[in-house]
Amino acid sequence: MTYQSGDIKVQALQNIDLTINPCEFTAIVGPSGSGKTTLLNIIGGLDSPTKGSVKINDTDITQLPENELIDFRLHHIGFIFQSYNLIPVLTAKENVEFLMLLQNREEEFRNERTLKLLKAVGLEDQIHKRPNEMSGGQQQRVAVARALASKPSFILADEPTANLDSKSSENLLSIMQKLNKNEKTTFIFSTHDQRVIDKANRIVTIEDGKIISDTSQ
Amino acid sequence: MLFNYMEFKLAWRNIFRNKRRSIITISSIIFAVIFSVTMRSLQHGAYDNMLKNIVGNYLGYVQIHYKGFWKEKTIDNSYYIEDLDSLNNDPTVAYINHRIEGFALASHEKESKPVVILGINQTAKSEQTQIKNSLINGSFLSNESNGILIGKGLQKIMNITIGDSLIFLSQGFQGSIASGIYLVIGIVDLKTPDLNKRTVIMSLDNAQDFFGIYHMATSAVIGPKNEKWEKTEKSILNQLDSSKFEVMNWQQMLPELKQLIDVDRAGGTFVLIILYSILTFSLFGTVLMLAEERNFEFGVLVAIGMRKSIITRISLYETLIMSVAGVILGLICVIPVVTYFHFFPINLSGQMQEVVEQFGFEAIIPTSLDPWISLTQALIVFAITLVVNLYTLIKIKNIQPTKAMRA
Repeated sequence: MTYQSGDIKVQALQNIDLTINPCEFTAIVGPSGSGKTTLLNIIGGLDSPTKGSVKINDTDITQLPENELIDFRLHHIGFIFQSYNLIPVLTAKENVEFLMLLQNREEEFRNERTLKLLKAVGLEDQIHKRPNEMSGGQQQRVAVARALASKPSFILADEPTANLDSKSSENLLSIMQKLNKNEKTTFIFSTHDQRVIDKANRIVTIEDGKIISDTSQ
Repeated sequence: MLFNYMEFKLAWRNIFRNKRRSIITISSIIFAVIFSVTMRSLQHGAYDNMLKNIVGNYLGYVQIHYKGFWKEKTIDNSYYIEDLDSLNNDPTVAYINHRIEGFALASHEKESKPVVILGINQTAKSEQTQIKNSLINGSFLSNESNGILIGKGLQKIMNITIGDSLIFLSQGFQGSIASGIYLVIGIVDLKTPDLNKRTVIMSLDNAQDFFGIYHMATSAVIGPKNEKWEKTEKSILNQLDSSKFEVMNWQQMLPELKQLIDVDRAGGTFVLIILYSILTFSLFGTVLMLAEERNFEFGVLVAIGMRKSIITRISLYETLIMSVAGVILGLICVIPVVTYFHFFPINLSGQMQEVVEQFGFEAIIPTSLDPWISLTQALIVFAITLVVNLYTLIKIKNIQPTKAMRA
């Protein structure tokens, strides 16, 4: 996979061959510029590789037309971003419910699932607050609930604790672990944070766009 | 349907996200609506007033003459009234008022002045209404007397009072001498300074007698059955012998007035184009900022699974809400202003008054209450806001989530 940076063509990823199994709690680690985010973007269908394929549940997402790819992401992939990226004009409840509305889910289902997820992330008393009325940690927990709302096959989290203090990071990690165990949710996240790496049961290390180690713990 | 509600909710809340910007956007739309509607209403009001004064009250929208009369206005170019009787059965014709229009020299004491003698059928309701409305002093023409009405300008110039006599001298039918003495029984204000200075109105019978053209007239003023005089004109043209009669509409009879209106309208349109351009650029600035600001957010929305078409709709709703609000508020502000100036027109004074009166028009500018003006201007402003929003739509269409989120 190459991308253009000014006049220079940069090869971001090379010969990546990676299979993620259901229910894994996988950390992609590596120094800055190693290609972690690019790898997550490729897995999430946000970027297309110049060569090769990305198969999710037997679907090669690199071959999907734009709208189908967007729909695929909606139904199969949950995203957690470093800077939360909640919709600022919606409340916590609405942010979580939002993806289910896009999926045309029934109101009863939506309400039930939204409350369940917000309870799971410990925000049942904050449901009517907007992002700017919540702390960074709370916002990231809403983002986790939102990522889970559409019942995705897996969740991609790009440095989810990067903007959080240690207490919030700890809290978020234990929520993610709980969801991984109880809900059988697959998590793939990139991180620098050793505390996060310690919690992962699989660690994929990449450097200069290549996988240099892939270990389970 | 469910999601449409959410789309609308998002659009609505987005408006309040940056209140100051939304207020500026809505204000510029309000201003544009107020300015454009006021300007167009004043323009159209001025035209309507000119037409009402000159065409409606005096000339009529369509006239029939003996062929050649308009070029050479002599009494010899008169027609027999009975030749036009068949037009009374035309369904597009409301009335036909036969008139005699001739020139004479009027004398009173030591003063002499060329005047236009207008012989009207004083029993015709439409003539009565118009002339009676213009009567500012004295009484209207009666069937028996040889009384005349004169314009208020002529009264002033010749220093005439009601009860005075005027002597007229002119050329009658086929070279005969026309002369007579008539009693001034009323003063009329024909709303047009030029007409007021030279018009004498007498009964059709008296005019026929004066010019020696019995059972004849020089002009037939045709009243259209509805507002569309063009339809009446067409119908008459189809019935009349074009070798004997000429049918003329007000635009042919008064080409200068038509030209004046056209030139003024073009000037007004030019000013409006400038206004629309200012509005377009001001709105475009807002839309540009909005699109750049939201670029990251649009990227996130596409990434998490929202189709670009939905984002486009949300953006459109946002623009629609603001433009509808701006247009409605603009109309709410402008309608009372336009209504006020319709009933209490702007009175021109000083040099402006003189200039306008020199052209033969009444020196007032009322506004027009034609609802099409407000509707058209509101729609134009509305369309501009939608067109400007195309930029956001293009931006959304071309969005690439990773690029947008990296920015």
